Amino acid sequence: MSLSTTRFEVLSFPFELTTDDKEFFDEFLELNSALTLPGNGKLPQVQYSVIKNTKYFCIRENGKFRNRWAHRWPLYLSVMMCVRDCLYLHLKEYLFLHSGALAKNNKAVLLPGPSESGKSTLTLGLLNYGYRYLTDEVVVIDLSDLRVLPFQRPIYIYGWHSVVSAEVEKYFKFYRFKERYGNTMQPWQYAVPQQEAILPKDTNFEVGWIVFPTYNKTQKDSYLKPVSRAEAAFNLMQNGWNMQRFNDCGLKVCSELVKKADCYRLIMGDLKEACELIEGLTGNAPVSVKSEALESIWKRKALL
Amino acid sequence: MQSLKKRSDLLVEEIEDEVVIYDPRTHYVHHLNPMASIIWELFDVSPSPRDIAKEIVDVLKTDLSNVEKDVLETLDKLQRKGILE
Repeated sequence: MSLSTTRFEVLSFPFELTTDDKEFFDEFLELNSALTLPGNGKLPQVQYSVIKNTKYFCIRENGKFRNRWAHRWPLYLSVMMCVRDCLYLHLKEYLFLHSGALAKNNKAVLLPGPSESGKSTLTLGLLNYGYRYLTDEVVVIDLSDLRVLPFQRPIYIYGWHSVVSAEVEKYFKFYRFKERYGNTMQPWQYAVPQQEAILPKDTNFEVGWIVFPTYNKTQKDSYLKPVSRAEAAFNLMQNGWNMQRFNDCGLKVCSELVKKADCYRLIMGDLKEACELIEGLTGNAPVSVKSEALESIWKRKALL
Repeated sequence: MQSLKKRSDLLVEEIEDEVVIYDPRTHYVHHLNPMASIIWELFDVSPSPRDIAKEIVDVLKTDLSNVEKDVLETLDKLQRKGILE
């Protein structure tokens, strides 16, 4: 059995992965290229192993069984969910929010919301308007200055069609694969930020806008509704990944964040209109982005 | 209702004219709208629903019985959420 091992850091926290599956190992390195840094000589605090026995790939964390899969495709997500949980547990200097985030003109737009609220779709849509990708799922707030750090994990997208304009496409590499749901195989892809889109790990942004998206499939248009700062703080608390770690300071951090930002709820039926509304909010004249490639993206409103 | 009091372990933030409360016991968060926030504040002055209603009526110049009903409902909700006990 030939083993491959890599050491990597996420938010300076050291991990190690060992596997006997070369294909998964290569995929792991590729998909993580924007999110992680190579290990920096620190001893890994958490070690993962992904070893294939006769039937399953078995995932262990520091020797303890975590999960097993019959196929290769869930392995990356599964290991990275363990990594994410580990960060929430160990890093007390960051608040983690369930939120998408993009940056433009040195300010960040946060898109907090539960699963299927439209965070990833909106994140993809806004890339076409010149926003820098920070994350589609995990916003990292540095508690020392309340600024947002990039957490550039691959964007997980349903379907194999083009999701961004040709202009934006060159900043991402797309990995297509199929996942089994019941008896059918469904097409998915990862969009991995490439060199030009990768932000230095110490880059940070002030939060300028907090927009809570809500996808409504029965609605044809999109609209923005201002929310009070108290309601915004309440909603941020609801979308905290590690809020219970902080007790007293979690509420204070959310209160301070909303005091600095303009807060809205976005009821989203039409993605293109939703993007233009945010573009208008951030101080830029709403620009209409039209192209043939983009038409498929705007039609993705049902595919969150 | 007279014996109700605010729990001392709650974390409370007043943001503009509304209140957000974090319950460290349950990890639940509660958001009080402007009227509930006023009732929450006035509860410190007097826990009596009638006294709270009178204070509100003095400012809003509205019907006491309606306001008292709203105050009672609000205090009942706060009690059911476990932030008054």
